[in-house]
Amino acid sequence: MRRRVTLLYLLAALAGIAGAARVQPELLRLRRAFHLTQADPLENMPPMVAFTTVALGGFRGLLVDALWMRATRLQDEGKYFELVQLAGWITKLQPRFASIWAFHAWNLAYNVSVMLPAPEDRWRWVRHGITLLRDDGLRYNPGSAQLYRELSWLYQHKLGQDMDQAHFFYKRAWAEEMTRALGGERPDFDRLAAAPTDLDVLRATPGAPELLSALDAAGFAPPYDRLLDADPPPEPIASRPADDPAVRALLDFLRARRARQIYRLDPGAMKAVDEAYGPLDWRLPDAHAIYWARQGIPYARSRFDRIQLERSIFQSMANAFLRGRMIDNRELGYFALTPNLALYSRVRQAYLDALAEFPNDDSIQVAFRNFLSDAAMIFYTYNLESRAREIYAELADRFPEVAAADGFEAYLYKQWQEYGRDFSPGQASAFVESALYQSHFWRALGDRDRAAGFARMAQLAWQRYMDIRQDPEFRARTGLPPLEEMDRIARERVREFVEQARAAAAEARAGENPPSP
Amino acid sequence: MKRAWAIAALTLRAAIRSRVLAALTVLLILASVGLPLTVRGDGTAAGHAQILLSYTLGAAALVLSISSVWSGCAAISQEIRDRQMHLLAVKPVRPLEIWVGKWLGLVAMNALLLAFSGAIVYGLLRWTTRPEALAADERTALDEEILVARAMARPDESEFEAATREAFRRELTEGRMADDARPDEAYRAFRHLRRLQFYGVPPGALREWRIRLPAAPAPDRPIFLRFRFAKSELAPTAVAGQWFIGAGDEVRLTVAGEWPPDAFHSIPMPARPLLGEREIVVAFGNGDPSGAAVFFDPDRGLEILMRAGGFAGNFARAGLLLLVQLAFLSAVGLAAGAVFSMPVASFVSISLVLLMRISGYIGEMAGQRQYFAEAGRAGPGAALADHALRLVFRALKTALAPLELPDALDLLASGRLISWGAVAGAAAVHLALYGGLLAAGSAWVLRRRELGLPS
Repeated sequence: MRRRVTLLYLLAALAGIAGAARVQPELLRLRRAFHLTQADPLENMPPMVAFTTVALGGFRGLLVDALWMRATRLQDEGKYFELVQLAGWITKLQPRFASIWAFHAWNLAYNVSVMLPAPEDRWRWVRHGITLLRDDGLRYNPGSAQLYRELSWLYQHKLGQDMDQAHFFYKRAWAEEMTRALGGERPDFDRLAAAPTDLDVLRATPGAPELLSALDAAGFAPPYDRLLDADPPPEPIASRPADDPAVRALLDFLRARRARQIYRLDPGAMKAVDEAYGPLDWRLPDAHAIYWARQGIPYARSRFDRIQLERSIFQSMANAFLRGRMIDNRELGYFALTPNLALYSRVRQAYLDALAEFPNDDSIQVAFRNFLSDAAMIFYTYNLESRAREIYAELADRFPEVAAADGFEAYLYKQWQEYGRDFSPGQASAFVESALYQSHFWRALGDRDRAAGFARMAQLAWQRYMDIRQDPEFRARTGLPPLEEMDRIARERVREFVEQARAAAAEARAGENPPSP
Repeated sequence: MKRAWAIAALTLRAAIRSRVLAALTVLLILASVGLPLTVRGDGTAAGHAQILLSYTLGAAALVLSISSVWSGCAAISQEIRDRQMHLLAVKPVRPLEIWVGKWLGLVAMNALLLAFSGAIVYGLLRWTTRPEALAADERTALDEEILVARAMARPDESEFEAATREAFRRELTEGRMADDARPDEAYRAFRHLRRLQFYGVPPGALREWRIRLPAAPAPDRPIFLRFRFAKSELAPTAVAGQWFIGAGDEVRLTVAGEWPPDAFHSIPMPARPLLGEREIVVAFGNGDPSGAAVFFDPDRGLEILMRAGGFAGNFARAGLLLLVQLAFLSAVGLAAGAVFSMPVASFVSISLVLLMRISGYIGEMAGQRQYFAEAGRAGPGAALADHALRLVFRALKTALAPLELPDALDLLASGRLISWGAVAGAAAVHLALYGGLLAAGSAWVLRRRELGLPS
């Protein structure tokens, strides 16, 4: 009798489980449809996280409190070595609480990093913050627009802006990493997307088996990840031509693999971002800020989320316009960011898109006005006067309150005066460099007086900007490179321009007078 | 004593036979080998070593602490329940010898297990930080700051204390104190303010402190100046300044730089210019162009750290300090087991351990004058309750204060010296004094307790 009852209970339990399994997919569908959760239940949760989230029940809160108090105490005592682990535990005990991830990533990247004097130590902590959000936070909260925005912010502000004394170090270190990982400022997205996904597929490329055997013999073990960091490249790579299909396939395989596995970058999504907002320099943090903000947009469920993500995009683009061209001179130990004029139309479009979506948002209006104002100045000083006038016309049309009554020249004069009073580092760099560019441009055209005038203007602006930065820390953080070095870059830029113009003219002449058969 | 040793051997043998020792050994191996594989440091070799020391040894200490209390509670209470104690009690063995024998057996078991996990951690540490596995700068940082025993010295405050007392006396005699102010509280506040001034450096000023070195400087070992300060401006920008280190009136070392506020900074300095000196003068010149004043944290914001011994010795002393704690926990468990049944003994022991863990909070509460009145309750009942609570907190503070021990693992992981004096002091208080009291009390109870009651 007792056995029968037990059997009955077992059957009832099995029937219950089977019934639950049948209705579960429908419940999940309804949860998605009504946005009851940010994402589907996690199916790949590590056992330790699954255990702690389920088995500890209400005690999780107590444990989190204890860990949080320990983390705060250790941080206060300057003992940082445990903080990565403690942040990992605290966040994983509440894996679906997006604000906790955001707080700890911010704490590591902002609060802990600035406690350390050495730039390389600071950079390690900024990376810890980024890694926590990117690798774990988004893994457990794939539908959290907030976490995409926070990650975008770390790239845009912590790496991209100049609030941290070590910001040049971060930018340079990130650029080096991205150069190794992606192969340069403009990765070939199609090749990365089409790269072999595993070594077996790679081996099918002609010449690949021999290349891999040679690498094995040179001490590089599969999957050859170290190869991307090898400087100079090992003999089996260096001895083959750069366009060797096996070398290209291997490098594409390694780069795509590192982009996906380490940096969580999808080449297809990178291409879409670059097409929509580029051409971007993917060695710079702004490109990554735009990428992560863009990835979060499908998950924005509130106006606030959406506007914040859009803001991340257009602010990063505006920054890329002002400082989106990288000059890294190893020989002279010189690193600088200068304007990327090619981005103008895309940045403008990003603002227009944001305004179309949020027409009454004052902050976007003000940001767009400032961008047009900067752009008019920069184009003018780069001797692209007609473009500058077009931009000014749009500025005057959209924001008549800032336009000068006496027209474009009067506006420029007024702006110069205002700039001189309060340059931002990006504006100062762009202004000085573009004035130097003008100087070399007019010298190349033979107008020495005009050239001297621009050179004097650059000198004055540089001097004035640096004079109000007497505090050594402020000067190191926001100061400009030596004027001579900026002058050399501008000269180089003019030389490139002149060479391109000559080549275009020669081509046009050749077109007019085709060689006789 | 011979009889106590015999009981200790029996206790140890029983632990081995009941597989407690084997289970604990497996747990310790898992903790010692598994934790370093799963716990993440900050990405530096020093961070890895600190994690290995604090987490792995900490986990071992936690496992052994729980087992010490548990085994201590079970050692006597279970034997009484199972009527095995009768066999022992009717032999010519005194209750004190039974208690001491059991305790020695538990201490021996803990010593064995602690030595075992200590050996694993030490081996792992030496293997993961072997010279060929690290870059030269990482090796140097480890050798000079983590895998070392550094003694610490802070500014001499004796002159400051005398001057403060004198200044306070003047305040009193000149009638500048409010009539209803309590002199002890007023003095605390007065001293606190003057101490902030003692450690503060106005913009453009120079402040000096005398520091008595804990050991003679060795020519080939650097001395570290460790400091942290707050600044009088909210901006977290670095403060420019200069350190002057010397003896008497002679400046022998200067270090100029910029340091961000609220962070700990450590400056290594060559010891050679200070050879032969036992008292040095450390001065800071505040040259910050933005005109911010700086305030060094009075409690731990200005320290001199210098090598006073090797890591192996410090590691051994940390182990001994942990063993003292485990031995004390065993004694607490045994004493509770002698008085109560196993469940009650466990509860009482754990409560006592928790009380020890919150001794800092108890100390703070003992310093408070009002509890109920502060919560808005008034009247004679509240006053009486306040008085009673204060007595309880003070009694607890008096009983628990001597039991406060330095955090051995924290000191070890930060390369701070654990002196033989600290180990001896801990043994004297925890084992000789409190252990002796617990042993005597337990023996007294065991002598009077009726073991043959029908259950």
